[in-house]
Amino acid sequence: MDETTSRARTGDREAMAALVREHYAVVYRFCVRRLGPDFGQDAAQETFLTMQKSLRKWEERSSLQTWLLGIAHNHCRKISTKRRQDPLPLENWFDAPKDGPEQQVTDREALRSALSRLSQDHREVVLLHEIEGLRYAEIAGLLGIPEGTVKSRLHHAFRHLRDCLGGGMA
Amino acid sequence: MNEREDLKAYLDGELSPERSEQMRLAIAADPELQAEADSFRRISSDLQEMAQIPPIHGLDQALARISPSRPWLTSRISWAMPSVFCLAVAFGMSLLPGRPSLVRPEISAASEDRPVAAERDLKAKSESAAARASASEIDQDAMRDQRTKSLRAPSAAAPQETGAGSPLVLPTPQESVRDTKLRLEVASVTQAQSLLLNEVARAEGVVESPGTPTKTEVLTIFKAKIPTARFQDILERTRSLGHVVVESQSGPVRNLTPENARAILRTQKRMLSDYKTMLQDAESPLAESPLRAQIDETAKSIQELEEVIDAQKDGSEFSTLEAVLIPRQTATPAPARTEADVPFVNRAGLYFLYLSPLWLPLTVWLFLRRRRV
Repeated sequence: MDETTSRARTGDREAMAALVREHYAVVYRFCVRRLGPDFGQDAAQETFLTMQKSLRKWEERSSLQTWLLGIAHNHCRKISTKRRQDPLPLENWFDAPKDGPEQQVTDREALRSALSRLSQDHREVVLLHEIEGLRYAEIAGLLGIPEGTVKSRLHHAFRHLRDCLGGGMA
Repeated sequence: MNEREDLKAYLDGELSPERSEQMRLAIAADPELQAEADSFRRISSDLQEMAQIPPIHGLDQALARISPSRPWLTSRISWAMPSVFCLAVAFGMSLLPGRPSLVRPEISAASEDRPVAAERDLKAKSESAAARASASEIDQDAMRDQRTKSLRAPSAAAPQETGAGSPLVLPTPQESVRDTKLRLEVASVTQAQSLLLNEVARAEGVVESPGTPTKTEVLTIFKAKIPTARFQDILERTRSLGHVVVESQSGPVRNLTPENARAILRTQKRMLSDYKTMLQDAESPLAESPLRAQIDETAKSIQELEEVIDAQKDGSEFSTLEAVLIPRQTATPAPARTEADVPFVNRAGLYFLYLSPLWLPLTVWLFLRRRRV
C-alpha cells in the first residue's frame, strides 16, 4: 500500500482527494461505458463516496483500482437493474465507425455485430480484458469467478468472434 | 495439453514462462495455429481501436463530495445516530427532577385495584343516589306505616279524634334512625376496633361481634346494638374513623318521638274500642270473623307500641350498627404504579419509545440510504 492510500485510510482528506484524482478517469470511463454519460457520472461519484466510507475495510487482496472497479461494477449493475436496461450496451462501448478505408469500416461493423451475438458472460469478459485492460486475476476478482473460467470464456469468445467474422479477418 | 485452448492466454501473457515457451514452439511449428493467433491479435487490436474513450466530466463534483474525515463511530453507524441521540435525550429526561409525566390519568385510574375501584364507584353512586333517595325512601316508609295504620282504623277520621295535632307526625328524615351497614377504609383496623368498643360501651350498647381479634391488619366486621337515642352520635363517630366506601341502611324507622308514639297508641285504643262495639252490634255471623281479626291485630299493635314507649322510657330501644373495617394499605393502589417508583431504566425506555416518531423514521431512512450506496 502506498503512502497516499495509507493516509487516506486514516481519514486524511487531501490523500483521499489525491486518490480520487488518480483513479477517477478509469472509474468514470468504466461507468460511462455501462450506463452512458449521465448515469455513468453519478455512478462514478457514488463509487468514490463508497471508497471514502469503506477504504478502511479494503483487505488489499487486489489492487486499489480493481477494488474500485468492483465497487463501480456493483453500482452500475444496481442502476441497470433499476432502469431495466442492458448492462452492457455496445453503443456506449464503441464509437460510431470512423471514416477510413471501406474494408476497414466494414470489418469493424462486422466485429461489432459479432460481439453483439456473444453471450452476456462472454461479452463482459472480452470487454473487461480488451477495453478496460484488466488481467485475468483482476477480472476473476471483479466478477467473483475462478481465473480458469475467465481464461476459458475468453478463449471461447475469441473463437466465436473469429468464426463469425470468417476468412475476412483471418 | 491442448495448445488451442491456451492460445488466447499465451497471446495475453497470462501463461507461465515454461508454458509460454511450449506455446511459442507449437505456433512456430503449426501454420494453422499461427493463423489463428494472427486472427486473435487482429480482433484484439480492432476492439481496442474501436473502444470509445469518453471525455472526463465530474471530477470537481466528485472531489467536492469528499467530506472531511469523520470519527470512526460516526462513519460506521451513521444511520443509528438519530436513535443514539434520542436514547441520550431519553436518559437525560429521566434524570431531570421535573420530568414530564409518564402516567396518563386514565392509565393510573385503570391501574388501581379493581375491587377497590368498584367500591369507590359504588360509593360515589350510592352517595349521589342516597342524597336523592333517602328522604323519599324514609317518607315512603312513613307513608307505608301510615297507610297500614289507616287501614286498621274503623274510620279515616279516627286519627284526627286523638287530640293535639296529627297523631301520625313521624320523625323527619334527618332524625330517622335505621339499622346501618358501613364499609370503612381505616388506617389501623385494630385501633378502629378498640375505639368502636369504647364508644359502644360509653353508649351502653351491646357488642354482638367485635370482629376477628388479631394483631395483623386484615379485614374485620364489627357489629353492635346501640340504644336508638345514641345511635346517630355513634354513627357519626364511626364515620369519622376512616373513609366511608359504602353505607347502606335497612329496617324500620325506630326513633318515633314519644309524643308520636303516644298519639298512635291513643288512636289504636280508640280503634279497638270501635271494633268491639261493631262486633257486639253485628247481626250476621259472616261479619264477625273479619272484625275479630281486626281486633286481634289492633291489640297486637297496641302491645307493640306500649313496648316501644316503655323502651323509650327505659332507654332500651336498640338499632344495629355493622362496620366492615378494611385496612387502608390493601385498598390503596400498589406503590409500584406511581411514576416515582418506575425504575430509572424503564422510565428512560418509555421516554425513548415516546421519541420513536422522531428517531425511527430517520434511522430507517438513513439505513436504507446507506444500503443503496
